[in-house]
Amino acid sequence: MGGADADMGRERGSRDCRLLPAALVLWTAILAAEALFAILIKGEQPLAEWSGDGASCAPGWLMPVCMATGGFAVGVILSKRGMTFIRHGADMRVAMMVVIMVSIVGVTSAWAHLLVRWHDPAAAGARNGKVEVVAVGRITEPLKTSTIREADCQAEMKLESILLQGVSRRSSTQVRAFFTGGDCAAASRGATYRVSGVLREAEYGGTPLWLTVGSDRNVERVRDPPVTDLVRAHMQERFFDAVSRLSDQGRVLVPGLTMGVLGQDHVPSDGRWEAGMVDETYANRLEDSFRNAGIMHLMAVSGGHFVLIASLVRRLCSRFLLPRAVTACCIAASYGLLASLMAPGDSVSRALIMGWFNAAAMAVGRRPQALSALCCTVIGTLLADPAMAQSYGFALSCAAVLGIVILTGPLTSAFTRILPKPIASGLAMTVAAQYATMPIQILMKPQLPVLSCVANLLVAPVVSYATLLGLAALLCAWADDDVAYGLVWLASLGTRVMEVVADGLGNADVAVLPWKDGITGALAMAGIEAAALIAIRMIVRRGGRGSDDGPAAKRFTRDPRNRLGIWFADTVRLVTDSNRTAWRGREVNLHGESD
Amino acid sequence: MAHCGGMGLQRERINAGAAARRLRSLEEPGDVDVRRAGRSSAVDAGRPGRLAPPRPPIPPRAGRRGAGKTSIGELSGVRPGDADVTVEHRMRRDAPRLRFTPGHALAAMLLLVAVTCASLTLLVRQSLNYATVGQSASHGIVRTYEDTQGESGATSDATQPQGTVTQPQGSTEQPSQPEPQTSNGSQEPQGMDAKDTRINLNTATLEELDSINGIGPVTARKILDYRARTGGFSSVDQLLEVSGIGAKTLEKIRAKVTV
Repeated sequence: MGGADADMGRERGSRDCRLLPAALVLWTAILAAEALFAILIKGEQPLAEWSGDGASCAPGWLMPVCMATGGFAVGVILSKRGMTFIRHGADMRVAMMVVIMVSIVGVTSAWAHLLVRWHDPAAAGARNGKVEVVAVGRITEPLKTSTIREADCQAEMKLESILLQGVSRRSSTQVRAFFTGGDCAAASRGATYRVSGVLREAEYGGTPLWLTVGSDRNVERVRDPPVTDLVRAHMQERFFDAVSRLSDQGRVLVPGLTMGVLGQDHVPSDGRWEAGMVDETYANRLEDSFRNAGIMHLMAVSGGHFVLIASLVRRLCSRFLLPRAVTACCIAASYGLLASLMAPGDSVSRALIMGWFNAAAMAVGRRPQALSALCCTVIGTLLADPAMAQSYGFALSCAAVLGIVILTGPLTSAFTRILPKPIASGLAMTVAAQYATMPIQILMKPQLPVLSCVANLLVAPVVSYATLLGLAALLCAWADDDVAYGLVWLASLGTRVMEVVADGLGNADVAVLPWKDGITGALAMAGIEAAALIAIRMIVRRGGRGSDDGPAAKRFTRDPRNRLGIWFADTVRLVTDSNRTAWRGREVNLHGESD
Repeated sequence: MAHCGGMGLQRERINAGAAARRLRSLEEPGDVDVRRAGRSSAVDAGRPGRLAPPRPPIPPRAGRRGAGKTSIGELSGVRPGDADVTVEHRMRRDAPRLRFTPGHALAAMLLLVAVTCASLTLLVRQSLNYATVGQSASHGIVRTYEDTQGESGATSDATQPQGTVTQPQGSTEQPSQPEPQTSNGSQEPQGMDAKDTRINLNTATLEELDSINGIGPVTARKILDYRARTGGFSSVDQLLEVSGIGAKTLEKIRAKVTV
């Protein structure tokens, strides 16, 4: 009992990692539930499509070797720390209870959501092939240029009802609707439409169903968008008007940096989509070079935007000497407003909910802890919407935050010994985020961005300023066009730096290295990273453990560099100083003296 | 070598080995392990970690090896490791918090259950809506459509330019839209007693398919090929899979075929 208290007394409340195992187990449990559902009810083989090509011909000895190595490692750890685990049994039982409860609850929620989605009338109808429907639904995201050739623009719709083979039923799936021609100009976000077209299952992407609306006269507005949506659309359109006066790279990159929508993906709502805002070839090439350089994550809205806004709001509130609870409410409200102005996405949701947790902590008077807020975000989001467990945007966002929170401190202290302080901290954050997101990036595209740390370091100074200028332009574009144009022009100077870095590093020959694709490649990368972490930790611990036992002489000569220096000095003296050689009886110096 | 151990008060000739032995004699195994366990996060080598301050120095006993002059450093208990690590540092909490107290664990579990129940409640409400709306389905659609005609006519005169685009669409859709619905609704009873007038896709011959207005001989041949390949049609919409038949053609011939 005394031992347990003493150990618990060594724990620090500001490093709260209690929910981390629960969050990880919940994510794994939901993925396992989805795989089980796919095998049992859909009749698919989910592992086949995840393993990539070549997994079926993986050598048979690989699995037993991996298991033997893993078992050996576990045995070594247990033999060294086995007493630790046995003594802390009571505490670990409570933690295990929480983990088991989380996994049960996660599997239940995931199975229920999957069943409802499976039995949805639209999904059931589209399962047998293409089907003609008349669907009533609301457009939930801004229109984008279409990714398939047969249509001009696409919009995410949430269905209200569907008329299928003469029977009209209530449905609530997400559908990606593809429009052509004048329908693109007519459709606006937030409005409810009745569309008739062909429904089929999606070939790629997160939305499960695709609805191709034939041509004109198939789209009819049932309900207008609410006033808030009209206001937001007006603000965003004025911002894009200001952006359209910039150079090519500004037109592509400034909206991406500010709102998360690349310039070529935007569909203006007054019929100018036919001309297109940007040359498509140039835009695709720029996007590819950004992806190869590893700085594509800048074009998605992440926590950086929210942190900037939060610091501004907090300074403003402290200038007025407002109490802490009021400051927290202001920060939460500004988070909500900012998230509604950005292009919707899973990383935006993650940043928003995590920001709300931090604001709640500030309101109560606790220190906001990133790791604890992240774990609560992951658990809450996955329980409310288990489909997010398979979302790449959400996974990348969470992994990046986890890496930054855990690894930035040790890496900064390690790099500060070699590099100057500002470069060390920037590089440490980049390396930490890259380290954590590498396995997920390999799942998306099986290549290693070799130069991404350098690229991120080069663009790090301009990102915050360009983002702030873009956000300021977005907020004032509805009032004054010229002020907005000035601000986005300044922001485009920053994006010019990004374009130069991406062109130089992204198109270099050695920019990317190929890697094994599929889940085997991701697991291999995760294994290599874990081994590297353990190796570094062992080296640091061995170097640090013997730091203060033994006399100073022993400590001095334990360092191999010092031993090498002593040997070298002795050798030089031996060779060059023949008067005072240490060889007795071998030589007598010129004057007949001997030592 | 002359500053070995910091014991520089003597002027005797420094013998490195004797100095090392003196330093080693000051260190006692208990002190070293308490220091080590206090510094590292968990329990090292099975010894309990304590937060007690460092033990007071024990003066060297007489008769220990290397008995000679004792230095002031030995008597004051200065140890070689003392300069490196301060007492506050040794007593600092540095372990991450990993343990759940039972009360916190219970609160976490209750919160988890509450969030899951909320999520499942919303799902169940959706499914219940299927059951209630499904019964009065087509009736409900027509009512919604006629209800919103008034509001969409009123609001589409507003500032938005796309309002003028949708309104002619809406007005031309008006007479045509209810008709497919009513024809769909009436098709069921009509199909019941007039089924023999429609051509069954699974049993039709080339001439019967050709006789349909909208299908020519080439398309009829393609329908027969598709039927031979897949074994038959399970729904009229499967005609979309046949190349040469698109949505518009399907709409034209839907009234004339059945499965």
